[in-house]
Amino acid sequence: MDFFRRYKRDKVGIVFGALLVLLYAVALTAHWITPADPMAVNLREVFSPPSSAHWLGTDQFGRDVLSRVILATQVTVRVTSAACLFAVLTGVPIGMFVGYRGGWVEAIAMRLTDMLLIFPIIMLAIVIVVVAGPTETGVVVALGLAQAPTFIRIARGVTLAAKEELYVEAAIAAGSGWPHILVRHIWPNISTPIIVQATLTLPVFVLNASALSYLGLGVQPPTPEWGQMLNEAKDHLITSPYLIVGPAAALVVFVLSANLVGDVVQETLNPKLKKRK
Amino acid sequence: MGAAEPLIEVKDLKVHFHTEDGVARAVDGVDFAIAPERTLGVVGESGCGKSVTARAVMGLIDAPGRIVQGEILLRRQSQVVDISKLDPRGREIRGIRGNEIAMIFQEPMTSLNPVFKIGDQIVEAILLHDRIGRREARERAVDLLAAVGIPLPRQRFEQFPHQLSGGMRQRAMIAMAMSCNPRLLIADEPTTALDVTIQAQVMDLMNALRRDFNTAIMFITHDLGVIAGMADDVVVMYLGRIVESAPVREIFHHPKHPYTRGLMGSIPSLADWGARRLTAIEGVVPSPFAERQGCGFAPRCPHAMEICRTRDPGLEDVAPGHAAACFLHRAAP
Amino acid sequence: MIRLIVGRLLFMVPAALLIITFLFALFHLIPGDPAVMLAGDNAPRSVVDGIREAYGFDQPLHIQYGRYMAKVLQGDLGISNYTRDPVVNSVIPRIINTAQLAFLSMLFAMVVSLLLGCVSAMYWNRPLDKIVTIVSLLGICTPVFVTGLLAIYFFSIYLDWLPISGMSSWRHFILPVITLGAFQAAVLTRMVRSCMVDALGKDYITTARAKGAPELLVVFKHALRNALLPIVTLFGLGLGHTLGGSVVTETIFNWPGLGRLMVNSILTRDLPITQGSIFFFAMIFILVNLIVDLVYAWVDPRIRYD
Ligand SMILES: Nc1ncnc2c1ncn2[C@@H]1O[C@H](COP(=O)(O)OP(=O)(O)O)[C@@H](O)[C@H]1O
Ligand code: SF4
Ligand SMILES: [Mg+2]
Repeated sequence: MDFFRRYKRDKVGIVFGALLVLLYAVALTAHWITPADPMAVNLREVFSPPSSAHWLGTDQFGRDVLSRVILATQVTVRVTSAACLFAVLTGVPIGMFVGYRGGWVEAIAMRLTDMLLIFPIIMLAIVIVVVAGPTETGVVVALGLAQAPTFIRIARGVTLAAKEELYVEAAIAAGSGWPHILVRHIWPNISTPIIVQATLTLPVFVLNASALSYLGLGVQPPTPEWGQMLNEAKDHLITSPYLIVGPAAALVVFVLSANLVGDVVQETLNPKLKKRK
Repeated sequence: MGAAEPLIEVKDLKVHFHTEDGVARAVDGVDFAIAPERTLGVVGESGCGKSVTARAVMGLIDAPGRIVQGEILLRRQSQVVDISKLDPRGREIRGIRGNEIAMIFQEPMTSLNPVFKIGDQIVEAILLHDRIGRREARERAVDLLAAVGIPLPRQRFEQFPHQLSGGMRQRAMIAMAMSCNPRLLIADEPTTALDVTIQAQVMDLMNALRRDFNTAIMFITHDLGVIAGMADDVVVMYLGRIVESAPVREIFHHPKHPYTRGLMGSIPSLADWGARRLTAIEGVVPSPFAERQGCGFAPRCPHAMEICRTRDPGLEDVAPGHAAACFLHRAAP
Repeated sequence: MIRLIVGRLLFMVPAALLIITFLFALFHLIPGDPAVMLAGDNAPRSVVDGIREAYGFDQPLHIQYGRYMAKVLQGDLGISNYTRDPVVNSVIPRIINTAQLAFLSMLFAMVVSLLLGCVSAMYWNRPLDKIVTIVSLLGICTPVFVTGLLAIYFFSIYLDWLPISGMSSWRHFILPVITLGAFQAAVLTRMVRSCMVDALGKDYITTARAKGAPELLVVFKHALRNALLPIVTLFGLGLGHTLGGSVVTETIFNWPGLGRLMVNSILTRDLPITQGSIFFFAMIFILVNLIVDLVYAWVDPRIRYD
């Protein structure tokens, strides 16, 4: 609770935190708040510019763009949350285990992790999509695995530090097994840095998920996704430039809010960082 | 103090830091003067405002700090400049820094730029103020390195800071500071970060420089013992103020202020040098954020009286040339 | 220093072998019959069987692996399902196009970020710094394809100044380079600024000021030269990310580079081309990383002179 009290002191944190909460609310309630059916094709009403009936206009199939942007918010939240969870669930256990185990297992694992970290996320994700397939699940797996090395590093770092603590050494000396030690003694130390890292990487997930769909390697039509909507809008840029407004604005606002909230969360938990800025 | 016109005169200097947690009154009304070729020792526990005072004299106070009051008068042949009024990034103060007033710092390990050669850093200091050629500046730098007792100065010239020991680095810093023959050298705890044996060597070097260059020195330390063989006059600082000032013999033979006496009691002998803490005085330096009420030392003073908590003693003469800020030494409080 | 170079070069060998192993694994990781994948979806049975035999997909795995490794090491990455050209022939010219785009974008990003980052740190917490901070924040929140679309709409369609796609003249370079470079510039400006703020807080900066050095010298010589150590690393990472971002940029501007080749090959299920582009991308990243390490060692006298 101390966290929220200190978070509240930051004006930027409040404004963009509220914006982010709003976006998540939109995502959760998408099915009820869309003004029109986001999937309904209406060939008599294609490419109609923004109007009171269609605030953001309609696309090449006469679908209401605003409704599609709203539904895409849900898709993005779903995909990025799942991918983030996937990254944590794969990265953290591996990091904790190799950090605890030490020795050559750790050496090799960290060498591999370092090697993966030199590749940009989008490249790793694309390669994984080749295997996992260009579907929503594929994107979740691809982004999750591509981000896992970051979480491996952090979990290992915290585990190494925790291992030095007296009470952990005592538990080891008392003959507790490694699952017990990892779960009971080391996990509590890890949750905070992992949460910070997860909030910090949220914008990265969003950017890369939309980039994959922009390339046609992500969420497939007719399911709307901001990147994919922008890709389709590009073909009609000359005649209907308004098509890019909705998805572009939603994407930028989401990433901006996520970035700022991540920064403020990190500063709140680690006030020393603030002095630097 | 000496009879000559002071070289530098600090009058009622106040430097405050405006931070998120409040206003830190790091220096809160300080007066002192240094005559040419004299050495002033500035003593006090860590955090009492010694470094901030020194930086103010160099015109090096940067945001969030600000000189809120006072004057820092540098006397030249025909004119007097008030350093506290100069733009800290302006041309005039830059002509003074490193030229008329030079400074050496506490941390030799971090005070030299790690990516430039030792020699080049000294050459830079020379070329910033003297219109001479690079070649000549190099020769002067090598001579300076030799003068501060660095063996093989030509080789050392080409080396990077990480290739030198802490003592050697501090000597290089001293060489750099002396490179333009400053009239005042400020040494901010130049030996604190060094090993005991090296400390003694650097102190010998400083003493030799004092003789050879005729430079006035403002020697800052938290350690009265270091000052005994070095200073002509001493000021003792506590919580951003001077609590006692006197010639060095006077301070050692007749210390008046309970804080000074406390410091005396805590002069470490060589044997327990490692501890270095001024443990003889109970308690810690209070936060400079706190509003001052009465004598700043009252919470830790073994002689504190009723009046000490309500009235400010103020620095007053207790003997000719000897002032103390304490009610114990007033005729009738 | 020499030992470092040799060590790093040697590190490339296992890395390359690992990548080839992964490419080999791709045949078997992807669901479906590898022979069908190589022949293309609509190939007749006879062709599929021919390929199965030619590639030895009926052989035990370790033999296949050995053969694949041997072929790749001889520079044979197979042939495209569509053009039937050797993969290497279609990939090499694409690498050059991508390198041009990435290099120019990175150059743009480095110049902009060094300037803005230093100025921002110099005017730390003052209005100019705040403006730079906000602009670069917006920059990192705007994906390349949004910037690209806006740039195309404004400069190519609305103003009709610059071509939309292709790379046939220098004017074709402007939009892609700025689109890709701007994002990197924003990312790097933030980092350069924080490195510089860090460096400007160091003791040796006080020493430089105490010498009487003017502020420009303090910032651009004493601080920047030190901040260069982390900045070089950041620029190296930035180059990697620029290459990553080139995939999207090439798709926006129809740039005939390796990234677009890779994406197209995935969409058309041209596995040999996909493998080839992954292989070369991976080697480029490792090479870039190597160069960054060497530059870093060269910039840091603590490494160079020991
Ligand atoms: N940059 C700064 N920001 C905020 N407060 C500062 C800063 N520099 C110094 N101070 C304050 O000034 C006080 C005196 O510091 P200083 O002069 O360094 O003490 P010392 O006597 O140990 O040299 C410190 O206790 C601190 O509160
Ligand atoms: S004035 Fe009072 S409290 Fe202060 S030093 Fe003297 S006796 Fe102690
Ligand atoms: Mg100090």
